[in-house]
Amino acid sequence: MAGIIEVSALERSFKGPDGAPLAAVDGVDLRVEDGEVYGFLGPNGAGKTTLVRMLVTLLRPTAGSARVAGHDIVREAAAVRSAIGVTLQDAALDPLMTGFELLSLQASLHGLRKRAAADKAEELLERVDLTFAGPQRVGTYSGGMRRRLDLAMSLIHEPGVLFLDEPTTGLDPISRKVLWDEVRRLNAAGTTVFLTTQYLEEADELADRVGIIARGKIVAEGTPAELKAQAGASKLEVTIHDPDQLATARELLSARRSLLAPRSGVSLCLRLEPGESALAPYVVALDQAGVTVDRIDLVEPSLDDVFLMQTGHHFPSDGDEPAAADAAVAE
Amino acid sequence: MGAYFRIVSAIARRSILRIVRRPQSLMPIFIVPTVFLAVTSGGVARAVDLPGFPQVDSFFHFAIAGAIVQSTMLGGLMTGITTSIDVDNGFFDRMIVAPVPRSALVLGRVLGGGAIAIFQAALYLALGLAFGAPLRGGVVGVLLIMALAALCAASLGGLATALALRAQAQWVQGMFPVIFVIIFLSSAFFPRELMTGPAAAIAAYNPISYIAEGIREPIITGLDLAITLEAFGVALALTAVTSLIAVWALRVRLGGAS
Repeated sequence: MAGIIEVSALERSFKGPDGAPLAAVDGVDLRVEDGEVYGFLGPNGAGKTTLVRMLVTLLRPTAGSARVAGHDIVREAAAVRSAIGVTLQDAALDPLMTGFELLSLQASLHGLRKRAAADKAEELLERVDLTFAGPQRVGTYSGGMRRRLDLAMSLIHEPGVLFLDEPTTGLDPISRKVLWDEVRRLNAAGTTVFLTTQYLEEADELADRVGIIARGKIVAEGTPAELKAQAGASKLEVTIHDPDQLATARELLSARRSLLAPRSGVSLCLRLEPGESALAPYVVALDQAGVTVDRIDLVEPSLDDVFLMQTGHHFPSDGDEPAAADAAVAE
Repeated sequence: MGAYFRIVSAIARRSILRIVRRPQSLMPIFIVPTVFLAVTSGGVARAVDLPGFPQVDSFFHFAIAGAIVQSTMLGGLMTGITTSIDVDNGFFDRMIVAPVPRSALVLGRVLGGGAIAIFQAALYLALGLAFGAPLRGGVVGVLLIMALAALCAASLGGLATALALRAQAQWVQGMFPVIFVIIFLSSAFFPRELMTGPAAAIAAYNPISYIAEGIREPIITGLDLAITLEAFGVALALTAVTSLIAVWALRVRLGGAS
């Protein structure tokens, strides 16, 4: 049976700063099953937005093909648009209009008559908990309210497939949680969700399967658990109370397991054997050697470890510079 | 067909709503033509004494049509600027990903600009009445003027929208002086009958001349079927052509995706 999203060797190039073609999406293959939440994870400039813009018919591919809800994104673009809901990056809303007016406009664009459009607007405002703000101009909304309204606008026609392009970027933790709950609720009601994100935690929390993209190519794909398993065993992070005892602790632990570079604030980090999860032997050994331990943590592999394994570097944080491909898309 | 026009009407309503919410955005398109109207009416007042100049009590009455054309053309430019803003902030993408015919997206904006032009024309006609303009075409004449003003704004709106979809915002704003050149190379502020040489030839080929004359006739003379038909023919053709260019620009922007 065909997936609800099927992407085959999809490519999109832009003219780079030196005039040469720059591949923002470089031969991507993926398949999303009906009812799934597919997390598309990658840093800024990796090609996430370019791929989404092609799938939602805003951008024509340079090569390859894709089908969404059974329709070709190039030859049957209108049918694709009828089947999907889209929330693009940076909630694109007119600040001069009220939430109610924007939803009514969107409903009219989907062919609803004036009365039906108004009823739909009221219903969706209630659904995203914005009834109180419906008569207010969007310019007065907080970031979280704008995102919720944006999401409501993409649900006007109850789409079977919902594309969310970095829906929580820039939101505070509470607003992020509210949006996650809404995504879970939509998915539980049967909506397939294609979610791009640059937050590891978000992909881990929401996605049934995750595709990791770097420099326009998918470098890993699977369920979060599968991907973490690929990244290897757990790690043990030890924080020593007295820095003078660090050498003793290092000597003791390095004799048992290989040491890794510890992150900031942690004294030592060692890689455990696959399946190993008992802390006691290490605690006892350190105690017998007279080393005072402030903290000892078993750290499960994260999607960051997967990213590190596949690309050779850690997942970039929020403030990192977007890559050239992203800048080209922005233009 | 009904669904198509519901979409066009919803988009046009939004254009009007934006103006109602930010009326200050209309200031440039009223101030510039009004100042120009005042300056020319005072500066070249004696032009009406030239042999062959149409029979008018004052140059002001003659020039009201020019002010309406100037103001509505600038209003059409506003349609393009609004499109540029929507493109820049991503709102246009939100509209594009809805299952909406591309032509409806363009037509809604263009007609929204046209509806605002009716209000612009009404203001200038009120100003004319306050200063003794005869409005010889009566109520029918006023309605014809408003319709031509709407088409004038719509035709420029189509062109400006096309530019907004294919170029950056500064290119749309860069049309501002071009509009002045187009107006001065037309008969908006001077009768074609008194032009000579290249000026006469250019004005004869300038479609804005015919729209200006179609607006002027009901103000200073009365209803003239030939001039009215000529004006509407030119304005409708211009609106159709520029709107088609805008639809083409949108299709090109989307890389040929329908």
